[in-house]
Amino acid sequence: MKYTVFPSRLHTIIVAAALAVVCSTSHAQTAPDAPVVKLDKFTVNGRPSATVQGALNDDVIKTESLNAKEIEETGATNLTDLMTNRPGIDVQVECSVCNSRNVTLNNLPGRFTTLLLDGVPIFSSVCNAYGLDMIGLNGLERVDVSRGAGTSLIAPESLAGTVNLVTKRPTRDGGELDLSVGDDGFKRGTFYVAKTFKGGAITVTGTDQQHDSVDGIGYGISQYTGYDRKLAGVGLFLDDAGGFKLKARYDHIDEKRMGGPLGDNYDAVRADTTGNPFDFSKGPHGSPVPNSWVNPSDGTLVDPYNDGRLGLAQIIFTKRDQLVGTAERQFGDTRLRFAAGYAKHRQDSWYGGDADYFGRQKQYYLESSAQTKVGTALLTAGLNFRFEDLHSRSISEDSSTPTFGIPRTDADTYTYRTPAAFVQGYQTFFEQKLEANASVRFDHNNVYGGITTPRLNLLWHHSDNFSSRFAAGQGFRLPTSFFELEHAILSAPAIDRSGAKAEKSDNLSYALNYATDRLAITASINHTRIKNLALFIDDTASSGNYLLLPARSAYTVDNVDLVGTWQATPADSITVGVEKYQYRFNATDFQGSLFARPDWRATFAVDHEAGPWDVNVRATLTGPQNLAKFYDYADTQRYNLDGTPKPNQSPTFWVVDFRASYQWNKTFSTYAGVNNVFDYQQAKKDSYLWLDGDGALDVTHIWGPNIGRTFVLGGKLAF
Amino acid sequence: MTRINTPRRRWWLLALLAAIVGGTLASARAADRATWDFTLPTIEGDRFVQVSKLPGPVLVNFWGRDCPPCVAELPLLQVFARANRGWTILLVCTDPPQDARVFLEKHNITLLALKSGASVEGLMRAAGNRSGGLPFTVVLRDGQVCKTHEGGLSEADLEALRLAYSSNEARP
Repeated sequence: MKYTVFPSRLHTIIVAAALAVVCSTSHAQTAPDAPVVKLDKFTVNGRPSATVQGALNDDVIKTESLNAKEIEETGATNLTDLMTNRPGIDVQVECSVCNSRNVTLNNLPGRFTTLLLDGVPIFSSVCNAYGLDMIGLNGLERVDVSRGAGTSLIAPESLAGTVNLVTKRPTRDGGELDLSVGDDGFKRGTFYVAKTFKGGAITVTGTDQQHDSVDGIGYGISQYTGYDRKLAGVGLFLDDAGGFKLKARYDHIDEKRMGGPLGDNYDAVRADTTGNPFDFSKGPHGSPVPNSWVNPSDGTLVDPYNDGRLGLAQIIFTKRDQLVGTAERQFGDTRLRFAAGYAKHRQDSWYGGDADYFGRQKQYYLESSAQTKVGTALLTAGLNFRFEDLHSRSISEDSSTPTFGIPRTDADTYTYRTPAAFVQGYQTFFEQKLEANASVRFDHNNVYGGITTPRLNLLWHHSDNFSSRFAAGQGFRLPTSFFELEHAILSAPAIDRSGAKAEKSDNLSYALNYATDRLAITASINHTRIKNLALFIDDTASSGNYLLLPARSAYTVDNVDLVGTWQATPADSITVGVEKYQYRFNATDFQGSLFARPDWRATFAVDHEAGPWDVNVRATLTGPQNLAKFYDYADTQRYNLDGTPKPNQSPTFWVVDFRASYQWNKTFSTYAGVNNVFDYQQAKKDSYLWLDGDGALDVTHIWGPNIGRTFVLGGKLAF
Repeated sequence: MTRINTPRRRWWLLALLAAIVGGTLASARAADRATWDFTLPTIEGDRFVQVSKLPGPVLVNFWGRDCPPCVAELPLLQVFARANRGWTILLVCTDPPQDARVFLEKHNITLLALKSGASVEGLMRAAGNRSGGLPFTVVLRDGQVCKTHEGGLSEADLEALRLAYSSNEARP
């Protein structure tokens, strides 16, 4: 079925405003200001570059930017580590066994965040399920974050916002070798080598990282998933390739992970299909017996668990190859840009009790655009084409389903072809004090039809210290049928997508920024409403199928946040952030598909930089989460293994991280860190395991940290 | 008709109020633009340096490791400092302090280097560099901007900055 999104009131207003700014570019004589033409210049990597003059003529308009210093200070080993516990930004763990994680912006569901690599959208829901943990930070210049759908011209699918990883173009020969070890079998080695030559540079990166699965309770069932992750990459930078400035990178990713039973003997776990290796009596509100649990409906014990280690295992092997490149050339006042991306993603997985699943996905992306000076404004226009398909082989391991034991091909397949056109106008007013950016995209998907998304951004430089930014826009997302979103879909003969609609979001945001030499404060307010959020509906009792349908009502998140950084002493800076959220949705309409998010959070950080020392302490206080509403207790009450109801609300909790590094000489530094200093673990308060009213076991009761205190020690050679 | 003041509406009213207050405060501060002053810590983290309290001519250079013209002009600035003993040369580092410190050591640059502070772009903007491009150089006299230079410096550019200061000093 073809589907076209009809204009809403906000849509109409934004389109009108966007067209007004775009059209103003053709009336040069009436526009008052000279343009800020984007020159080949060197820009500052520090905060708050989101408000620098000319910030709105970028294709991806960032609201936050994490530079190399901030990346290093966190001790993060991948994108998800980096994004955890930041004001307005966080990471949502979506499965306690497989540790599928997503980046949440403004506390909106993580799958709504669009990921770009050097401005190229080459990630999909398939690779996002586990792939975000595999995005290394080696060789990155910075990570730009755009909170809100209204912030990006070239991000095609952006409901909540965009995260763009920007590769560093080396300007000198150099290299780094970083080795670290820690608790729970953590071992990590990374290297980065850069070689420059006349008119270009080449980089080679590599990462080898392992971590054991961790059970902080004694169930024998992990809360933190073990993994063996290998990354390798090559970057090529040419300043003059036929007149074009070229930037390209190739990455290869190879990861094995297993959650549920402990250890890393994948073959042994796959072969272990009978008996009970677990102890369900451990932990808060544990079962009265080790090998069974209480059926909440009648208080009796369910049949003893007898599915072996495989029964609760999730084993996922991932291989991914991706290539992205951009080429830019300046012709006078006109800049031509070409971008291309290719990704091949392979997932071999064994979900004990659910299915064996082998997915293959390909993605292509092509883009061409031109930015030119039209009168006193800048006009950008371009075309892009995205291709994404998924093929799979699978077999249901659930003996209660009609598809049990039947090998199937392409049970969740889809193919999306989406050509798009976009236009953006950029104009300054009042002696460049006011910057305006308006854009309109039109995407035409072979399944969901045409979708128009307008976006408007205003940046007002009140003075050298004060600026404010307003953004309004719409985003969309094409829902997929990838089985990871709902394991049970493989148990149905077919998935009926005829009623599916593109998910759409309306976003309004305003931020006020004040910055002096020693103090920076940003206050922001955001409103996001998501319509047509896609849900899988179990209709096996009626039609025999799973239905992919839009939610009947909208999901709305409003939030305010305030972040301030103060250079208190020559060596010490202090950062304080507070954020408050309001969620509005009808829980029944979302059937517990949302993950719980906090009502408020506060973050505190102290950075001490003196001579060779760099010491950071970061603390996050997370407020209560309305578990009863997010997990829809009204329709599906959740129970502990002893048959008692799960709490309606999560407690407030602290997570404190500490890290110190010492630079011994020009080339060698060492570092030590303690994560989750006070050892706060959700599983010690409230198990991730939960039962429905009939005593069926699930593993997704999630609201807090899944690993306790860990130590890490490392050394880094830089030359 | 009774209007319901929902939390959502209150938030937007709060934002609007903040914008108005911010804009008003900003306008008030705009009147101070004649002087350009800042206080930044050294990259060693041992003291603050307030630029308006420094005696004599002051040259402030904003730079970054990954900016080739910035790197190329560092030795020139050091030579300039040796040749003009009465001048204070300040390097405002846009890189992480530890990285900047190691880089300067490797290149034997001994000029006084400062951390970038909370708003390096705001500082540059206040001195006339709206785009925030590097390198950027400012010559000061008694807290007043005498001359600025965007882009890489040559020896001739440095001499022009020196002369600009001298001619400014000669004015009544």
